Amino acid sequence: MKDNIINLVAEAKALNSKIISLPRILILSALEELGEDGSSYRELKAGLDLEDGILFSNLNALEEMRYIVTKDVTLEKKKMTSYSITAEGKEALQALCSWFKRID
Amino acid sequence: MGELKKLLGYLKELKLKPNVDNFQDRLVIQKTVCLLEMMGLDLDYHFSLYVRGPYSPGLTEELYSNKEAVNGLRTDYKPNSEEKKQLQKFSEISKLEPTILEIMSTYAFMIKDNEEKQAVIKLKKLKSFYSEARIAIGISRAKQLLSKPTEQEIEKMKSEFSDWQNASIDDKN
Repeated sequence: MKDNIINLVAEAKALNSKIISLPRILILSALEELGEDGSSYRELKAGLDLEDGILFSNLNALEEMRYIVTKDVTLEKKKMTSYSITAEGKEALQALCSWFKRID
Repeated sequence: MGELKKLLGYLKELKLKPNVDNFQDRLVIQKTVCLLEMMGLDLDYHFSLYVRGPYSPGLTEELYSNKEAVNGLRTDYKPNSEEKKQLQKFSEISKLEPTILEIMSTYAFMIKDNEEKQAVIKLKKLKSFYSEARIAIGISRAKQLLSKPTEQEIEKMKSEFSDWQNASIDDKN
């Protein structure tokens, strides 16, 4: 480990360990640059190659943490739910990415 | 920063009436800009591949920060005759259908870096929620929009045109 382990552990305490799971990191990363536009459920499912159960439960968990928000949208008269990342979600993802870089 | 004034001139020419707050309208603008850029109409927006297909975060940012100008299509830009020709071709082929634009732009983006077969496989994976038939229509329209005739095809066209031209001269005589 190149960094000081004491600092690394101290900084880890500032992270929200609940987002450290592959589906949650993938979801937040996918939504990060889509801003207010966000993404529909079906796009996330196809793009991230996640099973319904896994995607749905992790989207709910991230919404409870207020890292993502949902809104109803319409495309060619079809109603869909769109998910987008919040400022808190972006911040948590950034903190996690910075921390991971320290492990290198 | 892209060329927003030019883009608004193009949207006006395409007879689109965008509402930035509308999800479908933003999607149509995103996919339209992506395809127009691939046709050679440079609008200076950078596109990357996301779960939604090709997408430009910079374009969305500009649409929101210039909402009134976009909704009112406020621009002094007037497309020239070549641009008008290209826009007409785009409108006729895509029919400005949102989901078809989505498939067309994703295919066009995939085919830049992949062989035909790989591009279709990747497209079908990313847009697996669309039917095979819908995807086939999108691919076919993208090919129609972006394909350039080969040397052989140009020669064939020239020869056909000259036959027609000669026939019309004979008619006059």
